[in-house]
Amino acid sequence: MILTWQNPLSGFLEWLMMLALPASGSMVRQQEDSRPHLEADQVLMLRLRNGDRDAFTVLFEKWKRPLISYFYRSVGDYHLAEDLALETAAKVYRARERYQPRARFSTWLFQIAGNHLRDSWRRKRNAVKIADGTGNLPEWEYPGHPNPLDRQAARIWEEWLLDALEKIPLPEKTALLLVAQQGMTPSEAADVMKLTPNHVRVLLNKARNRLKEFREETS
Amino acid sequence: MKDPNPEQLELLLKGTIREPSRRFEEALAAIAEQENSTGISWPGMLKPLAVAAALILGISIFLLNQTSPSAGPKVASATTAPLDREWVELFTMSEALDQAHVLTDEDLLPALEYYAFNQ
Repeated sequence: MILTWQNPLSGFLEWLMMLALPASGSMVRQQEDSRPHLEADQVLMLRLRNGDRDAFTVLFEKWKRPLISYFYRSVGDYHLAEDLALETAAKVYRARERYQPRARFSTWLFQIAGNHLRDSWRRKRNAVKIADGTGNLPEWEYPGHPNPLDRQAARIWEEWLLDALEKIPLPEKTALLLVAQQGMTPSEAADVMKLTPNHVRVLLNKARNRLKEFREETS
Repeated sequence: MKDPNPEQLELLLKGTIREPSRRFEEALAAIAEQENSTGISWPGMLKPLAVAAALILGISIFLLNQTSPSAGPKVASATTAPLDREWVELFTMSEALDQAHVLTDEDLLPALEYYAFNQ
């Protein structure tokens, strides 16, 4: 008998087989992995769910820098940003057995990251900013622009951006970072933030206006 | 010079850090390794079996109470007795389920994480 995902009986059969079989090597899960419409990251996550720890390494080789960058722009402290990214990675690892590829992997990942950021927001107030003139700002790269900015100017502007983002409330900043930094559409950001796309557009507009005001103040 | 123009600002926002620290890389690698090296996570088969055992236990308690209503201490009044008994059954069932879950990965991983980040 061939199990298809359209078959209403298959959900029950999967449940039955999950009871009968250990987490690794389940026939149903193997079949799920080979579903053609899954994106590469979802397949990696399913491999991790099935016990392939290398999939975790591959997955976070891709996502570690976007994740740290997202946290760094959110909290303005590089050490804390790395800690938050690590804790998010640990949450992903911990959730692997419950993972279902219902949404894009990035949506799921940034939902976890966003929740974790909100939970950890209090820690940020006690954090010591690394951008304190000691020269410990991380090196940045800008996709599609190998050397777009003068190194010294970029450094100054990075500090300017940190100060500007500091003044933006977290929901607006999250919308801005998901769209402008992570390249999501407002609809995808809305899925992450569990808001409507229009609400995200409003937040995005507010964030951009705040950046504009900050520019006018400082120029 | 001090502040970026709108195009430069968009570019800055798109930026990602070039390379995480060595501390980050080591801790990231440890997340998956710690889980494996401890060897205390339950095999996949035990978890559903434990849940099934808890369900059977809960249902047994429920059926036992149904078939022998005179059993147990008679402390509740006539008006509150059925309600109280339902609560006791529900409570017993959820206790049994909690017991079944108590040694799963969910409970062990926070300890493993703590170990990974604090060693």
